[in-house]
Amino acid sequence: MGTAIDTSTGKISQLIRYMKFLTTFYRNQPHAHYFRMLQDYFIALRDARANGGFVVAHTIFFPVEIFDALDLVPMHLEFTGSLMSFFGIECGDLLAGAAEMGLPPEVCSAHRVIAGALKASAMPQANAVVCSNLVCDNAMKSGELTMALHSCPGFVFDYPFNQGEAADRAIMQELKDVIAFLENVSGHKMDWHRLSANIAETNRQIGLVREVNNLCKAVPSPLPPQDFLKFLVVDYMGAGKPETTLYLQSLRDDLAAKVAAGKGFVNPERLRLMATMLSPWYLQGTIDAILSEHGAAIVCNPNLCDWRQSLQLDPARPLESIAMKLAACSPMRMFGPLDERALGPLRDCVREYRINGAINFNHLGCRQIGPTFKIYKDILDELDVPILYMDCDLIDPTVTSADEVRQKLEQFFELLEDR
Amino acid sequence: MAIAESTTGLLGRFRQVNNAFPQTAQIKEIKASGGKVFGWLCSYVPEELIYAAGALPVRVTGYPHETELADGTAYLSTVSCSFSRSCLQIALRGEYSSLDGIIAGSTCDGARRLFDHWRRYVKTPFAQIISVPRKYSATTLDLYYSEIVSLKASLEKYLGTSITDDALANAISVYNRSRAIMGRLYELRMRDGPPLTGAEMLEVTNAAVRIPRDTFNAWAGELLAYLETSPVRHRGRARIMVIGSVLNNVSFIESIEAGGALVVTDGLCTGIRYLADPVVREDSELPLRSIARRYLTGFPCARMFPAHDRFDRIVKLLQDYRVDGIISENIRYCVQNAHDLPLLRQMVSALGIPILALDIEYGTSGSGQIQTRVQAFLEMIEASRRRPVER
Ligand code: SF4
Ligand code: SF4
Repeated sequence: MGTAIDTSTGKISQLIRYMKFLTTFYRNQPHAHYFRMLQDYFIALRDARANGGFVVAHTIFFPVEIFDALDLVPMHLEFTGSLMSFFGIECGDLLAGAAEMGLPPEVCSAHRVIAGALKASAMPQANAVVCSNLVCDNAMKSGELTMALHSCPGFVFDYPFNQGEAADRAIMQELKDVIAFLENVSGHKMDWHRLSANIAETNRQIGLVREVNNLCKAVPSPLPPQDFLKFLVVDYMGAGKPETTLYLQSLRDDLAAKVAAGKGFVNPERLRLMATMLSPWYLQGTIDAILSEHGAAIVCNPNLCDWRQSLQLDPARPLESIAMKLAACSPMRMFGPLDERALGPLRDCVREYRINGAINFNHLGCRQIGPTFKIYKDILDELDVPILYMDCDLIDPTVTSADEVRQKLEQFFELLEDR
Repeated sequence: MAIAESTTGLLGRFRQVNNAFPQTAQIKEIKASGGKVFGWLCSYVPEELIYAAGALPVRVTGYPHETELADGTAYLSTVSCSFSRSCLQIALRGEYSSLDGIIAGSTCDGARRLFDHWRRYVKTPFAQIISVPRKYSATTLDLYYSEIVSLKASLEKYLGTSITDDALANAISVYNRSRAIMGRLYELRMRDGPPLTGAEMLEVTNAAVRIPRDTFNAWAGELLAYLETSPVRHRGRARIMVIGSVLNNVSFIESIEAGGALVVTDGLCTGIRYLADPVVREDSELPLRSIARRYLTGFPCARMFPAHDRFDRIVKLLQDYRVDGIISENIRYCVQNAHDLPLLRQMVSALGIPILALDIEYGTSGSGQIQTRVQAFLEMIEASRRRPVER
């Protein structure tokens, strides 16, 4: 596990080239903003060392508004690794590297890719790491592995499992502590005005995602299902950035025009589906194609980007706002006890989005979704909504082939059509 | 490996409890007399609190043997560890029906999902899960303390009783006494020829969490008194430390020892982690606060940060018990242990101690394949002993 030569600039440059291509490809369309946001993100990361920037590697859910206000260069470990494999960069090699390190296949592939990328020095050197126990056991462990392999200091943001006053106090203190840690290790000072401005921007973004979700209630629903992934990416990598607001605004306008014109992702729309997890990254386009061949659309995902809880962030109270946002974001409902707060939205979505069927993309290794299937199924059975259990993997294309996915989906569509 | 008659006799009581669990004579007796029994899930749930409430705390465990887990898997799916599936299956089949309550900690994905299903489908009358932080700081101690304060309040309400500071102080001393006895039993294993095997020790620690604590202390005390002067000496081809996921199955350790190894220590939550670190009362501190501190700062599980706190404890044990090799058993889908392996390997290889990593299912007794790998591992240790030192 010795330190190899840093080849990260090449990998990140490859990502940047993809993003540049896609920004141009989608020019004048909403997605151009999305890819530009990512392009800027990776350019900052690639050039951080040359520019004297301070790179903070972090795991999922860390409020990125804080990094920006501290003038730090973030590196989202899960998404940097996953985007590398999404765009075809040696995913097999990275997974093989993780196996050589002794990580068994039961560890979520999103995290094995991180380990493989760290081993292959495909991730830029971090100056510090911030990780948390959100939203599964893997995240903190990947953060700790990064600290060890990059020999840098780290902070664990310890998020309480149960909610309540004591939990609120602990979250606020953890936020203060992590800022103090980052100030201390980087020598940068928190720019509270900038943090407030970022929170104001995030507040707008949450409102826009809500509007987009509402537009998806239309029949036919206008959104290509793979865009749910983009919402996640913008929240985890672009929250608080003006480019993200531009993306969501133009997407909202585009979708509103489509709804007004009665244009859907599929026309006519015969089946309206709910997904309870992301579909595999590498099959996003394929699944959209299969859905559209069969007049089916995934119109909602209660566990991702579903901001149903009433929430008004207050830029004058940025830390409280961050705590509020963390508590309200939909994947967090899966983190705490599976009570009504976690399960109610499933029922609500069936009604609000007029759902015919649900798909549970069960990622081999995902500790969140597979074990909830029985509970989900029982709830959906009560509502007479069938659910498909699809074994697959977020990243590793060797687990399930496109043909297998097609076959399973087609069988499921047949079942739904026969009802 | 012959076991002296007297040891067998003294250990027989523990074995009997373990074989009958969860339908032990002791639990039946308590229930018949109107007593309460609470199951706890994971070593971050403070047993002292349940004891001080006047109830019997028992650790929820799965089947003591490998079995098909159709029900557990149907509920928790294959991506949950087989420990959680095994526990749930037993519960779904009504074998934990004697429990009045279940108390869990948010210790890992497997445990929290097990609790979700238990609460929903097993419907034990009392069910609570507490937040268990992953690191130790003033903030996390406050949080964990407030969680067990609220657990105390729920228990008092449910049981219609008051859990006094005196009762908690008494619970601390009773449990510390157990820790001291078991700690001394462990120390006997530092000897060249320990008087008890790794499998025998596991019988003792398994029983500790299954019978009334006062009974356990009496039995364990008698065993200790005998072994302190016992002429029995066990020797093996190599002194082994077992680390990894939760392990209750004695036959797994037996199968390692049958191949000629001697398990002299471990880093398990069902072993040394359970008995290490007494609750220490600091001046004028409330007993519950002392309990909270002990549970959060004791020998850490792989879930805790930073990992090197645990690694340091492992290194100390390697030295104290003069360990020749480590067997790391990892239950599939137990991510926290799996994820530690790269760093752990790096650390122990720097110390020149070999490590054998086994992916297993909870309850496995050690298949032929496992025995073959253990054999090869022991041979490797022996060969490295024979190899001349290069100069
Ligand atoms: S996919 Fe599942 S296991 Fe992987 S990081 Fe996300 S929640 Fe964790
Ligand atoms: S075996 Fe591992 S994953 Fe399973 S309950 Fe124990 S710590 Fe959690």
